Amino acid sequence: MNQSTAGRLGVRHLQAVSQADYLSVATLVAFVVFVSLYDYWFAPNFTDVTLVVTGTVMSLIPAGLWLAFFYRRDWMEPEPKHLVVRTAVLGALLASGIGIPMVQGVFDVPNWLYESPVTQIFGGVLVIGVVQEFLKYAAVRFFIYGSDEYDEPVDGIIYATAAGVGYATMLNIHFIVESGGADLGLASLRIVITALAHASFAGIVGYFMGAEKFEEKPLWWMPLGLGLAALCNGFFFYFRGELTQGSADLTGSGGNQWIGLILAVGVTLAITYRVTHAMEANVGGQERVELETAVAGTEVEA
Amino acid sequence: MDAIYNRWMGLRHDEQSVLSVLLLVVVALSLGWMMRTSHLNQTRLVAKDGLTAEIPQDWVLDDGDGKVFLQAWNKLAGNQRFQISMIPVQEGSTLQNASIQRNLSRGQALSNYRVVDTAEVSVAERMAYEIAFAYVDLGARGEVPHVIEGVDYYFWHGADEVMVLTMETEGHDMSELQPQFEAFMQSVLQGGE
Repeated sequence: MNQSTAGRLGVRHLQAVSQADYLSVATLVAFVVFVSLYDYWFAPNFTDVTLVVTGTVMSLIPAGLWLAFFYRRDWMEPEPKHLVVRTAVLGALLASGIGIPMVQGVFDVPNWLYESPVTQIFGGVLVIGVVQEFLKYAAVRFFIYGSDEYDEPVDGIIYATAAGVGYATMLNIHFIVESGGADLGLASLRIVITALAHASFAGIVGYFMGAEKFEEKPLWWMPLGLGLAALCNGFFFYFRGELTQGSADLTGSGGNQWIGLILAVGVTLAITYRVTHAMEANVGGQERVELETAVAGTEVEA
Repeated sequence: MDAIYNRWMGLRHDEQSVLSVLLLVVVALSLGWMMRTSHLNQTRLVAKDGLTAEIPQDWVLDDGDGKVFLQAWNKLAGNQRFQISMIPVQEGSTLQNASIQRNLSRGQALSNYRVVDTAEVSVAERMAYEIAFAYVDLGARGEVPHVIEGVDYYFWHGADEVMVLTMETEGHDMSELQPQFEAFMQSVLQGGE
């Protein structure tokens, strides 16, 4: 395969991956609507145990959907399934073993973060955002980055998103178990919002990691990527909290929790679009350089 | 300094990148830790009938249920509370006797009340009698019961009254709350009356 062909494949591979993201978003929204309508019309009765089990199974759905769409779309240069799944599992394990204990235990976030908007934003970025985005970065950087399979910039996005989806899944399971189950409609909203948000922020980290490995980037490049993802993380959850404040409890109605979903979908689409275009520009740029080099070579020969 | 610089320059670019990310994380978490510490250490002064105490800034103050002289509780974690109680005692009584009376009445009022440990201690150069206890907070109907752990410190408050300073919280929070409770105790013992 010559380099120009590789470049074109890179763009198409990237488009395939972003299409998988868009399809996942659409299907997750459909999932929330379906669960909410089912809950509204049939008002199913659950025991405490079945509520927790149902919530836990629902927590796995975003990860399952994303992986399913990803495999459907990633046919041109497929990533090994076991590596993508392993990265997602690693993201979940890092969340459970380090992320959640660090945020809730060591930093004792529930006891001070929500006192004022200032602590919420700064604490949300500096503690929650940085811990979460660093662990997603670590899942890719220390376990997959050096692999031969990590062979094009878009792989950074793929593996980081997998880590993000795994991280979100564990956060959702933790929430369901901690709260002893939750209203079906509200649980589905929360699960999808968390999954979309974490996958998106991980996409930012992945974009910077992909570019760093295959292009000459300054030393501040990766800290910038991680900082940007942490910033988005902190601000997103602050604004979601502000928009949906007081709208629902674990057994109450959804209220304006839907605004949180709209925000999550908007952020996900915006980040996916932005990252895809930034990467397309890079791959396209490389292609132009390769073409110009080839033309220059032909002129010299002539 | 030169050694660090030379070592840094000897690293590959990707190693430098990882270290720069780690540096960002360390700086961010240090700032986050400072925010946490400054917020959790903030206190406010409260006073009642001449007794003063410093309680955590965002805790709620109330007069308790009549058996308690003053009570402060964490609005973000309702089971975390500090209390001041005054117990009248007869002449010749001891701190231990006062604690026995109090434990008997608690044993009747609280579910599965247990005295876990007792000790004579010194707090801020004052003799005190310490009681570690636990009981089950049954909560509202349908709620999962919680195990509450606590500690009482009995001090003489004049010749015919014992002052009890109490910390209560869910078991796993005990060590986290201890520094704030110690500050609370010091403020009561050293405050003006």
